[in-house]
Amino acid sequence: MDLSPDDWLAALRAGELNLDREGLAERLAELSADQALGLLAWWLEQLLAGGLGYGLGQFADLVGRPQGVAAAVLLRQALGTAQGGSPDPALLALLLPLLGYQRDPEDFPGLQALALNPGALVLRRGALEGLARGLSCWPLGPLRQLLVQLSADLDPQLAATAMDLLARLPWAREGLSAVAARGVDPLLAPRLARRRAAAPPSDLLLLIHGRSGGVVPDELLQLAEELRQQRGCRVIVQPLTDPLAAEQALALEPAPLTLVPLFQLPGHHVRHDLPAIAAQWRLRRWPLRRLPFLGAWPRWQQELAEALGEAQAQGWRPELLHHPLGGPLAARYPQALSQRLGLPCRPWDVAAYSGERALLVPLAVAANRLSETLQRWERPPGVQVWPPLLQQLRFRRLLLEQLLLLA
Amino acid sequence: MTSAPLSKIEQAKAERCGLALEPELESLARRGWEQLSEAELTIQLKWLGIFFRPVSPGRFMLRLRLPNGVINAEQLTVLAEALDRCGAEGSADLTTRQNLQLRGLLFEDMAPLLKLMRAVGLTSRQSGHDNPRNITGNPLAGIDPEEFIDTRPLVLAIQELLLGPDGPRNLPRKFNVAVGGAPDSFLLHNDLAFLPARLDGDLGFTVMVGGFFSAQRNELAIPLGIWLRPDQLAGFSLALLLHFEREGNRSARNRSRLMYLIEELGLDGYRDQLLASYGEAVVAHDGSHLVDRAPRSCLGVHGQAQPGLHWVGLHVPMGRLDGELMLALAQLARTYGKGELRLTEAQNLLITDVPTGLLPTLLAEPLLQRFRPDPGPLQAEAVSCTGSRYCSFALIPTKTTAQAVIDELERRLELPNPLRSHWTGCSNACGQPYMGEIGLMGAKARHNGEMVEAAKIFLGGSLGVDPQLAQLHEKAVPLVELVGVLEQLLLDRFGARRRPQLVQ
Repeated sequence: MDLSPDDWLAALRAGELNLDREGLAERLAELSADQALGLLAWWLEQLLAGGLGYGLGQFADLVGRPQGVAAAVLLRQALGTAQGGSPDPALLALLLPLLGYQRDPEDFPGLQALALNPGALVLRRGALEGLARGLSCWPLGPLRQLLVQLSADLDPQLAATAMDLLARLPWAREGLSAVAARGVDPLLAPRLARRRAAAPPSDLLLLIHGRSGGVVPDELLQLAEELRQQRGCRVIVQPLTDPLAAEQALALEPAPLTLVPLFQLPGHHVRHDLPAIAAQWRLRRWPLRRLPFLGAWPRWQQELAEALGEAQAQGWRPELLHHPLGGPLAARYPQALSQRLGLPCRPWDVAAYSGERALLVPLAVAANRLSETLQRWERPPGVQVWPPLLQQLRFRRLLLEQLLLLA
Repeated sequence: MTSAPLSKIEQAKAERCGLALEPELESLARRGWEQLSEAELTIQLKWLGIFFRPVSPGRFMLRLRLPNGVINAEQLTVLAEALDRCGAEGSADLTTRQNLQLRGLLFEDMAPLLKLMRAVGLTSRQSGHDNPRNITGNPLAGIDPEEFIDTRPLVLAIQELLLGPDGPRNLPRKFNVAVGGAPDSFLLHNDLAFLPARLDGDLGFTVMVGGFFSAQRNELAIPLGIWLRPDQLAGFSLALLLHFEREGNRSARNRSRLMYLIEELGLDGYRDQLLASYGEAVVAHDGSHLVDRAPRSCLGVHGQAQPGLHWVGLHVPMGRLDGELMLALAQLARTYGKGELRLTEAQNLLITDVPTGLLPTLLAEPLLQRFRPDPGPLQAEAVSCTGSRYCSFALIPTKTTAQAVIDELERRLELPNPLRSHWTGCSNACGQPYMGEIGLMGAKARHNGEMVEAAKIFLGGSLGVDPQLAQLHEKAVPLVELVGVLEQLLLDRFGARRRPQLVQ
């Protein structure tokens, strides 16, 4: 034990020392980063030359401590060499967790392929443990997809581990629901139920237009409060008209966030402001996913169709009205909605209303200038004006249901 | 005042308090904990109870705080759920400080787990490194027909002050505090122990200081010479730890436990300084106390102080649990008791408040085949450190070795009384081998020309009225010979007899 770390390493390389856990554990504390890397290199060489037969495997956890580009390169090279010829799955499985521990996104495809490959089980489990040790550094989408797939694997241990890892990802409820939909080994069903029960709902960011000065319409305030209580998560309301509120919200502790654009029409705000706002949140390290603007949700359109169908059955002639939209892309939405509902859809123009038994429907999620103009308008007898959609119970209930169902 | 340069560890501690890392855990999990410096990863995180484990890089350990070893089913369920997600990598150890540590967690688990723990009143704060460790008390506090005083509120009050805004954040070394409340409260292995003592008919505590075990030295605590009322314990503990924080030795970690400071100042000098810091009047005392016997095993069915209620002590083999077992235990506690469990220093657990009428059904539960209320006399009080599976210092796989050896000895022998054996993997003595009637310490020995795993044997530890530390009896016995050597010892010294079918 009087040897300096360099001399100790040299003696090790020269085969003058027998390695034991006690000596190694004591030495590790004295080694510099370069020396620890040298030890890893030596161990990998010995392992590749002699295999697991000499008890070298027992030191994997100790020598695998270095982390960084150089260690990752050494491990990749060793894995490459080990995979040639007739590879020993147990040896490869020993190295894969160490590679995952390097937490370099470059290694995801390799670990993914090994975890999926219908090869030796020990190897697939080793690859999955590698993925576990680097969990947060892998690309989220492909990782989620892989884990959903592995959760249905025929090996229950592999499937259970995949499920457990899925439960740790942002928007875990979504991934676990996908697993449930695919079906799992009955033995693992209680495990899946436990994971699903404990998976937290993501926070919500309700992006709204807002009124002048950042005022939030009452119906939206009420919706946000109901969501907070029933979903048990943070609900952030961001009016486009209040940049200060956005800045305050961005300063909160980041957590997985679902951006819900509460816009009926794909106007300038949806096409330009929304991507910019999403980028701003991501820049501040919020894991964020975007939903389509509300007017495009099939279930929302279906509710609209049903409600207006009921009005027609009572003898009303609904007309959908929207504020002016810029550009041909935005204009396609009113056309599509008009076709879907079989009703006229046009910009509001006081001179063009349709007369007797007309039901004027402003395409407004919450109170806005258009809905208020229509409410104030001295309409001729026999003409009705719908309130904004969220001021109607059926639309508020539907939106609440949909947002409660979100993962 | 010493001007010696700070060691690497002291520098890391002085740089910033590890508690400051807590708000960053969530974003670190997303951005990648590999961005942490070596000091943050291996030292500062321990202020949050999070341990980077060199033996399983990438899989972390979380050590809790369970004051007085009390935990409820809801809390246990939260921990079990976290562990359950670790699959085969996850396990929990009951520790010799009535505590739990969870192994196999990913860094990504930490922030959400700490949040859930907070919601059910659990914390892991300052449970590792140079901090006041989990505070122990009578595992039967409040239900013990023999207790002098319920230690639970006292332990809680001490913890509250020590972790509060004025508590120590940078001690020179770890620090163990314990409060005794019954005639079997052996606590002299703690840096600071409060033992129940009467003064002029009033029940209070005599203060014992300086006990510790280490690789270099083992000491039992000695009387400080003062007596305290129960309501003084928390304030006095805070004063003592703050004094230790100011005055303790930071230049040599192997001479930094409290006993070294006491020796440096002399007991009288130490007491004078300490009382000046405390600032409240205390009464001089001769150190006599009401603890007069070794700790009860607590296993089996026992009547509580509350008529009609019982505690059922269950043996946890080698103190190791997994998520599924913890969920099942929580369910047992809910079904048969009031949802409370207690942990003992012997790494076993108790379900409390079981009504008489429910005892037969509880005792017939299949889970009690694994966690037996009536284990063999060697199993019952076998204590073990973690061993080489999770600790790079351990020279032997302590838990599995102990289990195999004890199983074989119980197969061969009958013993008249339970026997306390303490197993530890290395000289750091986490398994407290000096407290065992038999103590075993991992070692290496030459056997047939090769270095092999072995164990040193210590004998004579006594935790009764005249406490003694076990002394070395036999140097490194190869593990392959251990059963035979222990068998002979048990026959010669502990009244064991060979089971009839094995007698030739």
